[in-house]
Amino acid sequence: MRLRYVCQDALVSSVSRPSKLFLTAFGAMLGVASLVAISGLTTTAGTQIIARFDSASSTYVSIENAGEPVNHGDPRLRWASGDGVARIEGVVRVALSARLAGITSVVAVPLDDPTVPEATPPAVLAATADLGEVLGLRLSDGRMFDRGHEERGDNVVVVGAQAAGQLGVDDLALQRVVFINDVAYDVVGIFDEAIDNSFLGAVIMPARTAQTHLGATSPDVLHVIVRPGSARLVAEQGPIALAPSGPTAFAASYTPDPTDLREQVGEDTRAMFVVVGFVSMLAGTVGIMNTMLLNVMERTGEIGLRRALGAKRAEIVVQFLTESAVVGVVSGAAGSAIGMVVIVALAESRSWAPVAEWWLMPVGFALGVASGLVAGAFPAWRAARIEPASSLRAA
Amino acid sequence: MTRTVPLIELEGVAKDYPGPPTVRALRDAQMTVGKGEYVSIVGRSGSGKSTLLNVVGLLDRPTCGRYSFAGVDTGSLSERRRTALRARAIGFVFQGFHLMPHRTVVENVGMGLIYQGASWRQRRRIAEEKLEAVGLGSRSTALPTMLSGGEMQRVAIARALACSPSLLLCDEPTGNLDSQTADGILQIVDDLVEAQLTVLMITHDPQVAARAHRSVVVRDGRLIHDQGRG
Repeated sequence: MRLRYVCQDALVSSVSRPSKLFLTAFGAMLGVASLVAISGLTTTAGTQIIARFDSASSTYVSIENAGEPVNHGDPRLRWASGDGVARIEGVVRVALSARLAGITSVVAVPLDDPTVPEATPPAVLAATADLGEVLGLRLSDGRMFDRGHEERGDNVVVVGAQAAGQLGVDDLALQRVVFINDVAYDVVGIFDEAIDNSFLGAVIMPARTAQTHLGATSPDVLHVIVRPGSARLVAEQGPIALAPSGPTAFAASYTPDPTDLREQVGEDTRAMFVVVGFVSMLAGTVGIMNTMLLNVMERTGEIGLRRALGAKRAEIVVQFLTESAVVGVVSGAAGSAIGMVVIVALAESRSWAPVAEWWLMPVGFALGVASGLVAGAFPAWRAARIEPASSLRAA
Repeated sequence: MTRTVPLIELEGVAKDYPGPPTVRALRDAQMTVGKGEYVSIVGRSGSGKSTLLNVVGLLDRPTCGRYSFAGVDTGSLSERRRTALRARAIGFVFQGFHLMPHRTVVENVGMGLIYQGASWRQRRRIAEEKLEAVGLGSRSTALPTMLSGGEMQRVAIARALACSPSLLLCDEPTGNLDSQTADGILQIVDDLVEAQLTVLMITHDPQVAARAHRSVVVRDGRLIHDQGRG
C-alpha cells in the first residue's frame, strides 16, 4: 500500500513540472521517434524495393513440347491443354499458339507477276483468343479477334506491325484483306507491341480457322502469364499438370527472379535499422540518465527530507524509478507518434505508400518506457545512497 | 517543567567524521530530556549542535556511546527500524524550510504520512487539521512560492506535526525570519510545549534560547553546560 502511495506521489511530482518532464523526455523521445521512423521507412522503402523487383521479375512462362513423340499416344500439347495449367496457383492467364507449316503465300493482293521476286511470307500462327492479352499485344489499329471468331472459325487475322508493313496493310481503312495460301482473311487488327518482338512479324489467326483451312493439328507453345514470384512454381508444376505420368514430354522456360538479390537488400535494410535504432535509443537513454542524475543532485535536499520523514531507501528508489518511467512513457508515446508522422510525411513526399508493421507503435512505446527505467536505475540507486543528515545540511 | 519519563538519554555519545583529518564533532555527550521538556541547544557555528540534532533525530548514528529514545536503545535498531521510529516519533523543522516548491501546501504537509501508509484522503484531512492549528487553514492549496517566510515556516511546522511526533527538533527555525515573524513561530512552539510536546531547539539567538525550559551549550563537541531554569 505504501509503495502505491509512493508511486502516486512520484507521478504527481513528475506531472507537477511539465516543462521539466518534457525536456527530460526530449532526448529519449527523439530516440524512439527515430527508431519508429527508421523502422517504418525501412519497411516502406523495402516494400517499394520489392515492388520494383516484382515489376522487374518474370511473369511469363512458356511450355513447349520437349521433342518429337517417340510413340503414338505420347503426351503432346493440345488446344485444350490450357485448362489444367490455368488451375495452378499463381497462373493469371493462358493461351496457346502454333506456328503453321505449309504456308506458301501470304499477300494482300493476289498477283501472278513473274517479274516480282518471291518473298519469304510472314510467319502465320494459329492461336487461342487470349493470346492478345497473354502476349501483351497492343493494337495500333482495329482489335484482337475474340472467342466468337474462334468458335465460328471466322476467316480473320491480326497482323503484327512489321508483317503489316511487309504486306502493305498498315492502314485498315484502305486494305482489310490478306490472302493466305490464296484464301482471303479479314484483317481485324494491327498490333505494334508484344512481350516478344518476334511476334511483330507474324500473322495470327484463330485456332479453329487454322484447323479448318490450313490443317493445324495441335499447338506447339503454351503461353502462361503468372503473378510475380510464381514463375518458378508454374514452370515446375505446368508439365505435371499437362501430363502427370510424363511431365518430361514438356519443357518449360522462364526468366529466374532476382530472389537472392532481393533477400540481400532486405537483410541490409534490416541491419541498418537495427544499428541506427540501437544508437538512437542509446543516445536517448544516456540523455535521460544524465538528466535524471542532475535531477538527483538538484533534489538532494528533498531526498534528505523524504528520508527524514521516514522514506526507506527502497522507497526512494521506487520514487525515482517511477519518475523515470513517467519520462519513459512520455518519450515512448510522443516518440512513437512523431515517428509515425515522419513515416507518413516522408513516404508522401516520395509518393510511396507508407507501410509500417502493426507492432511498431506498441514496441516503440515499450522501448521508451524501458529506456526510462534503464536510464533511471543508476540515478535512483544514487538517490537512495544519499544520507539524510548530510543532504539536509548541504541543502 | 515536567520531567516524568525520559524521552532522550545520551550516555557518552561521540560522533567522528572520517577525514583525513578525522573530525570529532561530538565528544562524550551526556544528556537527558524528559517528555514535555523544551530544551534549547546553543553554541557557535561548527560547535557540534547540528551533529547533536542529527544523532538525536536518528538521522546519523553515533560513533560510540549509547542513545536511548523512549527507553529503546537505538544502537541496536536496524536501519529500517530506525527509519520507522523516526517517521513515527520525530518531527523536524529546518531553518531553510525544505518545502517542495511545485507541490501545494497541503501536499507538503502530508508528505511524511505517505511513509506511514496514509491514503490521499487521510493525508489531506490530517494536513488540513495541522494547517488549521498553525493558522494557515486558508492557504492549503497555495504553492510555497506564494507564501511569506513566516508562512513557509508554519507549513514546515505543520508538516513536522502531521505524524503526531513525541519529539520536535528545530534547527534555527527563526534564522531566516524577521523578529516579529519569528515571535509568531516561537509562540506556536510555546503552544506545542504547553500541549506536552518535547522540543529541542537549536539556536544562536539568546532570546530564543531563553524561552526554553533549559539550555544546553555545545562547545567544541562537548555539552559543557546543562542549565535548568525550572
